[in-house]
Amino acid sequence: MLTYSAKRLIGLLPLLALISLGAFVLTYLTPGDAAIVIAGESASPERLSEIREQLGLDQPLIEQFFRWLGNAVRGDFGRSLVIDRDVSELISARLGPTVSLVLAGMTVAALIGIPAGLVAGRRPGTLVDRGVTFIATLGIAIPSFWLATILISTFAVQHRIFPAIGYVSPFDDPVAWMHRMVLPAIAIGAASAAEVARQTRSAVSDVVQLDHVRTSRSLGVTDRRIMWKHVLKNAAIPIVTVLGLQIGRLLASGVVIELMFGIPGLGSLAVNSVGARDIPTIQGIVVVVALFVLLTNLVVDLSYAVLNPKVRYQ
Amino acid sequence: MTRTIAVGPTRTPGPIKRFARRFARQPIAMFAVGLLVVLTLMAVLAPLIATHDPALQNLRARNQGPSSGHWFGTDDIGRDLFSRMVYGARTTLLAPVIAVTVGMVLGVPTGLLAGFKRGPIDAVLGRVADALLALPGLIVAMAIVAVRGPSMVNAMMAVGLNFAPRFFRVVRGTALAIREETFIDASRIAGASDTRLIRSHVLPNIAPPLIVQATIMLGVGVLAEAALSFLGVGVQPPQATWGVLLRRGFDNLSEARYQSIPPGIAITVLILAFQWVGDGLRDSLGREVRRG
Repeated sequence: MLTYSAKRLIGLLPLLALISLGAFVLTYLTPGDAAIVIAGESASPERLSEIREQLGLDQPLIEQFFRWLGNAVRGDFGRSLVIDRDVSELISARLGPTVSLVLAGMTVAALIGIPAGLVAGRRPGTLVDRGVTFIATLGIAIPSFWLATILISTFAVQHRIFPAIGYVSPFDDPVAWMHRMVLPAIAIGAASAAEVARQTRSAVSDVVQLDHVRTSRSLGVTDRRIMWKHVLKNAAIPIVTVLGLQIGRLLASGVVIELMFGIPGLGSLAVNSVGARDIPTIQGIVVVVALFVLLTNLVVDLSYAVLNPKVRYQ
Repeated sequence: MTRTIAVGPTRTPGPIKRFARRFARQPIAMFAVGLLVVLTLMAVLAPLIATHDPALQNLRARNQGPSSGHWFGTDDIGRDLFSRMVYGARTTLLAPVIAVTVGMVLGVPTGLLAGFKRGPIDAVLGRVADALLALPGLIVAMAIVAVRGPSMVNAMMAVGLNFAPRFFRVVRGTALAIREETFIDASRIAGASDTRLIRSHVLPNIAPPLIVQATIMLGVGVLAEAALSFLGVGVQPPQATWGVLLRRGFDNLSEARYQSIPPGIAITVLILAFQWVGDGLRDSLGREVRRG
């Protein structure tokens, strides 16, 4: 298991190198002189040379990349062009709110998606199954930011049950955090819950139609026992997979949701940096978020190896 | 009584024809196709359908509710929301097409190459696709817009870059499966060149799964465009898409709560339509391709 994990971890390195290259190249996608694009047409020559120096634009390309990569590996993405702070400092300050939002969304996805999928999948073709499938299809189609608008307008503007904006760290005040996270978590997690429900349903309905399950049922084994012993055991891998895949989706819709609910996370940092053309910060965010996604994919893959020992020996 | 027996060249229909025939038998998918046709007509015929000039401001009629004069009401500077939605359909429908086209242009040839040639080319292209898949599309699109400047085309090209690895995977997978088929060996023995093999055997078999993927990605593209426009990095004013209207509705929430309802429903229906067409197409794939 340890060798397997180590092998998989090493396999990530070429991917990370490619992603870093992509983030690095961003600076060179700017039309014309990057320094002028960033600082604006009216910038003083001193400011322009300052930016050139900061981005290392005055050095040969290959040298620039390896210097940037060398620093990035140590978590140093340079200084922000807008705020007088290190990019790594800005990002680590924003990591907490984003992680807590993603976890809250994931909780919504699992708590709604898995039971809904189980209920629908154990009796495929029934009215309950069709109902769940229809709602899940709708849940995937509704944009998270429209759902958020509806939630805010109903539960924060019309009825003042939940606050519309604001963030409190769960370590400072867990109750206030939960209270403020209800609406954003539903908005961000609804589509994931729908996806999880669909995948759980199809995994469960495949299993209940297997011969040994039908035999057990005909022998009088209780439904509850069948669910725990056969169905969940066999459906676990697809459910874990789809839950793991939600991380990327949650991080992406988190960008808009953080902005709408005033959550000071990576997403709102990304929006601000894009507006200000703060390229070092954007590069840092791209690499950090990609690393996040790669690591969760790895955890999902490793959990296969735990759930199914055959995987380890392939 | 004479019985006619079909004689002569009864060729079995090709994979694309069989696919189309199965698709036409699906009611939900055909309904969704109808929806898409209606929306496209609305976009094309916008000047005939819109009741007002979508850019005309009327500061004396701000944030009005729905009425016989303004079916969906007016926005915060008194523009007619129904007309803005009708015109907005144009960019809303065009944007995902740009993203999918970019994704296919990048993903299909590379996928064919990787699946058909295998070896080191496949390994390198596969790594690049994996790396692209790990990048969250929305953030990368925002990053590209940040350096290239905000515009709908820039934003959707960036989204297309994110779509490319998905097309790559579908095409590569199908190409891998097909190259093992006996009819490929047969053609090769008969002296067919690689180009000919790809054109007359591989492409027709890749087309159906590719069409399924493209339809699904069109729906994802609608969502991506709406999100980017919502964030203000998509189309620039005075142009509007349904995503832009949603954003304005959100900003006006305290004045006029209903404003985000029509564009919200419209986007959801559009995404649903692409999803239903995609589901119908997938069910039409038939066993011979699905297995591969």
